Amino acid sequence: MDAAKQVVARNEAMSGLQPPHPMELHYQLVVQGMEEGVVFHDQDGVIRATNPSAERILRVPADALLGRRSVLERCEPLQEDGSPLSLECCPALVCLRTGQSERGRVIGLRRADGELSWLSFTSHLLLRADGGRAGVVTSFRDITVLRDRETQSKLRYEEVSHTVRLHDAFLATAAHELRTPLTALRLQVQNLLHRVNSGAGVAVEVLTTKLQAAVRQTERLNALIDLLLDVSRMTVGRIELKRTSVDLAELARDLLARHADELTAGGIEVRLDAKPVTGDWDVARLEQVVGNLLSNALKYGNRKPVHIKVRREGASALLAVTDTGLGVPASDHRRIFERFERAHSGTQTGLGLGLWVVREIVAAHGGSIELASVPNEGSTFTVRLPLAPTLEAVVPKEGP
Amino acid sequence: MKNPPTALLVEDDGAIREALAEFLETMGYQVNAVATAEQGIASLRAEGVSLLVTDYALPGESGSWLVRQARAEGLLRTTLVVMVTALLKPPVLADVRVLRKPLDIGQLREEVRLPH
Repeated sequence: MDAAKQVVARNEAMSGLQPPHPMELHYQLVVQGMEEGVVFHDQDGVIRATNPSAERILRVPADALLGRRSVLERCEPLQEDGSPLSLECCPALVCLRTGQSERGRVIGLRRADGELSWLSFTSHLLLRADGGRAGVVTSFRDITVLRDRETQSKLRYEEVSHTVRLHDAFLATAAHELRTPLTALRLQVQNLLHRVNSGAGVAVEVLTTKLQAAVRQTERLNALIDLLLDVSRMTVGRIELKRTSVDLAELARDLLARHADELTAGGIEVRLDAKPVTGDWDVARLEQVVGNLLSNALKYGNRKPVHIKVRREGASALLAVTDTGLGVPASDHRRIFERFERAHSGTQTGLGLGLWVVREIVAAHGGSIELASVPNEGSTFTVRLPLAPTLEAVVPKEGP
Repeated sequence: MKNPPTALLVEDDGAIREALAEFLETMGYQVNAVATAEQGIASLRAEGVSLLVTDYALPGESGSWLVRQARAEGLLRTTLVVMVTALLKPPVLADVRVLRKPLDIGQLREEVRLPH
């Protein structure tokens, strides 16, 4: 039997009407072949005809729909905001009542297996030649996938917006940080220029001291720029470790010795309790880890002594940096390891990258970092590093 | 000889503090330089000054806090106040000149020039 005869047979079976005129038959063929589901409500609001797509989309046979008042009768229809929808408010019945078309009404329906689908309905009133109401034709399609995609792109958009805001804040912070050594350098040079111009003459010793101070500011600028570039490289997932045999205790001791002058000037005591523990690590990167954790402890440690502990713990090395300062509320423990975030907003300076850099370096070594902290009592950052490369650390991490 | 006018400088960055102090001295001020707002308020309580130059972003309390606190205690009645900051959107305070870092010495000289 060909498609046209099927339609005729189906029509006869459904309504007992006479075979339609050939032109009408063509219209019916179009309706039968449509991708959209189509149902026809008569003037009393009773479903009299459906097409195969309606059965496919609603996942019910035609005879379960014919004679009912709504295609949604056997599910729990939901409005777009998720609240229940009464059947009298379904598009076909609204259209029949008001005489107005309903276009693109989004309705959710809960399938028998609990799955939620979203359909878009459009209903139009059909008029007879004499102007009376013949009924309503409703077409609908499943937009679940589209809607999910939309939800996902909304989430993705929010994520990207958050990153853009962070980047903006970071740029402002970076500009602020770069201006500090730049300001010092400019003042030093302008002071010198003033001395020279005033004709007072400058002793060579004074000149040397002043120029050395200026050179130190250019070094600060350079270090900041290096850090920015380093962070940018880390962001795209490239930390190349130069592993050598390193004693973590010695590394910490050396670092403190090199910064002894600054530490003395700062007036905060640093107590090192380190037992030798040797592993295959990147010296320069681990110096960043110890340096950043120490600098945070000094910054937020309420000017009280800072403790650094180094131990071997099974197949790992343990590094713990403890302060008795401001501490970090539990709700912030995750956030502070993210880029450009800081535990305490306000006028604290710094790029807000220290802990992020630490986390990335520790992760590249296959290690872990954790924070134990009580607000106003202090914080302990504990790093654990495997002594030898683990499989995880050898496999390069996937790029974004 | 009359005593030179006094200036209090509050700046946490050592290199900037040193260079600014040197500049203020060449302008004829006797300079007391400190690193925090808390040290600044203590210094003002001990002795008033003709000029206060303070950074905005400081560890602990800010430069704005220092100015508000000192004003509330009536410590700045005859003091010229200049705030320096590297912030893109500097804070606005009444009767405080705000200069952006990196500082220009020519501009700073105009702000802190002593009356003849």
